[in-house]
Amino acid sequence: MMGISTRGHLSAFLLMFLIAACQLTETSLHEPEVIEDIDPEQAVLKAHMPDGGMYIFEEQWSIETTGENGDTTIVSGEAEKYDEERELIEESQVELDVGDVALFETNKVVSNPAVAAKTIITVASLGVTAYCAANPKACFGSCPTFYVPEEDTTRLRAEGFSHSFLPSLESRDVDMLYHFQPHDRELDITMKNEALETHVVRHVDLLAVPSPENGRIFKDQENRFWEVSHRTPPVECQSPGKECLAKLQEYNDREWYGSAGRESLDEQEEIVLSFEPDFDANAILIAGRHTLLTTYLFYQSLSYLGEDAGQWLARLESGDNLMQHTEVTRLAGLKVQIKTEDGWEEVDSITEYGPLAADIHLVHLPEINSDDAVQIKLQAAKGVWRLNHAALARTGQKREPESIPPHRAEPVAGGFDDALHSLLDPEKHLVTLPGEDYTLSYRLPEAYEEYDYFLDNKGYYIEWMRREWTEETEPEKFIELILDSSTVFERLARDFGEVEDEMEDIFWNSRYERRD
Amino acid sequence: MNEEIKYYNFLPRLWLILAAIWFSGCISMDVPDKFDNPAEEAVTHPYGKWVYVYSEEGFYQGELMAVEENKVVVREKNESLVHIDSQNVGKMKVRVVNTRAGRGVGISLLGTISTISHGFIFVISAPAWIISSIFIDTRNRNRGYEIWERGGDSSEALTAMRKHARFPAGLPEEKSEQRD
Repeated sequence: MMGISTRGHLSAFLLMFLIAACQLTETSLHEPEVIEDIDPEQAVLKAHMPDGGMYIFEEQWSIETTGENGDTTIVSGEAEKYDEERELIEESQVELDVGDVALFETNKVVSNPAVAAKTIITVASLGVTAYCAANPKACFGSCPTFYVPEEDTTRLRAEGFSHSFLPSLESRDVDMLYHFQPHDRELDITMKNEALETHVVRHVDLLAVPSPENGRIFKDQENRFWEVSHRTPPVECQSPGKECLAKLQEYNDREWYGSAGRESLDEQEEIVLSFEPDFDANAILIAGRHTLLTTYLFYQSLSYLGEDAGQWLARLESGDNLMQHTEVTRLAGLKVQIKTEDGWEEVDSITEYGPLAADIHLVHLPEINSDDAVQIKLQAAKGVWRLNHAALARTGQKREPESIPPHRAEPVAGGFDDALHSLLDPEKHLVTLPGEDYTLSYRLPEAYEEYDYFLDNKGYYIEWMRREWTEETEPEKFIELILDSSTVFERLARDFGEVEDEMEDIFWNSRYERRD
Repeated sequence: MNEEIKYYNFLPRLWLILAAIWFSGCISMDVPDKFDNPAEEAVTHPYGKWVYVYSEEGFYQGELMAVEENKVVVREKNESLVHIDSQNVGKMKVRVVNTRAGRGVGISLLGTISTISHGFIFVISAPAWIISSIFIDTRNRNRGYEIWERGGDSSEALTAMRKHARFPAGLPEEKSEQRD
């Protein structure tokens, strides 16, 4: 009795936090020379003109480099034009030469950091309801998250088995810890369950592969590890309406991405990359992650199934392959094509799912002479991929990794003291519930700086049904999604378009976690 | 029972302490509605932010027009432009955004009243509601402001406040010549 009262009280208290804390603004100034660093998806752009006038680009604006020598940068989009007295002059489609602008200002709405700092337990069931009620399919989900130390902080650098949402779909997932630089032989990785899901983890091991001199190790989609000593970024990148070259040259947190199709979710988009390698290339490296579109579709599928979801998932679990034909997976892939004398030839398709942490994939290509310019086309459904990096590469020897299991698994928030035994015993699983975190400790090889590291995890997860999802129970639409996805994709394009802009914020703010 | 009596005797003092915390922690400004926008409107607002400038030349309030190396320019309520020597500015207070912190007060009140139904646990839950509400509401309210103070904690230059001005790149030439 007391427990219920306390929980209700806590929930109301959290609701007060969330409503009262609400939203702030973040304003930044940018000199015109660095306009390309601004992400058009993230902010309202104000262009201050030397005469005191101003243009406000509220949404759907872009930055493009034009001119014969690529020396003219244009900001374009729908804008409101004001004079120096702030009288609205006109609202129209504008193309603004960056050289004519005195200063750029970006403004965006951000969540109040007081919430993060002061909240002890964030987003309990009522919190989730409050934050996600409007768009429950935007709420945080998708598998265990792994936080890796980098400099003075820890960063989300890997996620586990994103598409393994049933025991029968238990699978292994290997993610490269590209940015991790060890400073000693001890590595602590935090594994979190931040979603309303039950995670069933078979193992979480570290793979160490000796790096070649002046090179690194990358993995292909079959989880084979290859030495790569030559890499070169693209010299040109064509993407209709969006600047992409600067975002893809280095592997960092900058991302190229766009909006989903407004007519249908399977509308396609493509990037054409040109390379001028000074070596014989035979592979391309592509780093990226999914947007939230596939997560939305997964939640939408569960929503269509509503209260019958358990029954339907049990059918899949018992071997009924009807659901395996769902065309949701059709949207997930990133096709890699190479330009040949006969036109574009598909060489592979990257299908790794997951919207949380970017990973880098090596895709094998036919042998390319260093004399030849190379063109690669990446094609995917619009708005499904966020890409961080692309580079042409030359693979060397295939290497075998050294597997390092954790020597310590300590519960940080909730969880079990004997977690380590569950992770080390191949017959057992470690089961984690929402809000539970573990610190997993690994001992690196003696020459720890001479290796590249990968996180190797295996398991599956069970999505918790949300009450909001059951309100949309329409199993016939789920059948339609399987058998005639075109119609459903057209309808969902409109629905998704309404939530797409705010989905990232809702998603990341609805993590189920404990904070100090 | 004795514990209960002691608790009720303590209540008046508790209210005084809490009221003192509430009022001492709050930043406030008298801001015209046009310049007191919630976040979703503030990001597209074409004007400068409302500012209080405390300087050796006097106190000024109005729309922040520009913050340059040597001067701060404010348009007062009567539309006149005031140019204030940067060297004389001791403090600037800017209304950045309306956090709608007041909306939490009603919920706090309802939550506090609801603790009556908790029986004797009221002794713990009511103060918990009140104290946490005060701290949260005060903090949220204050987040709607930005303050620059000479010699204050922030090492930022006064020009860092130019992002809140109507003309962050500096006053256009024509306006620079207008002086009141």
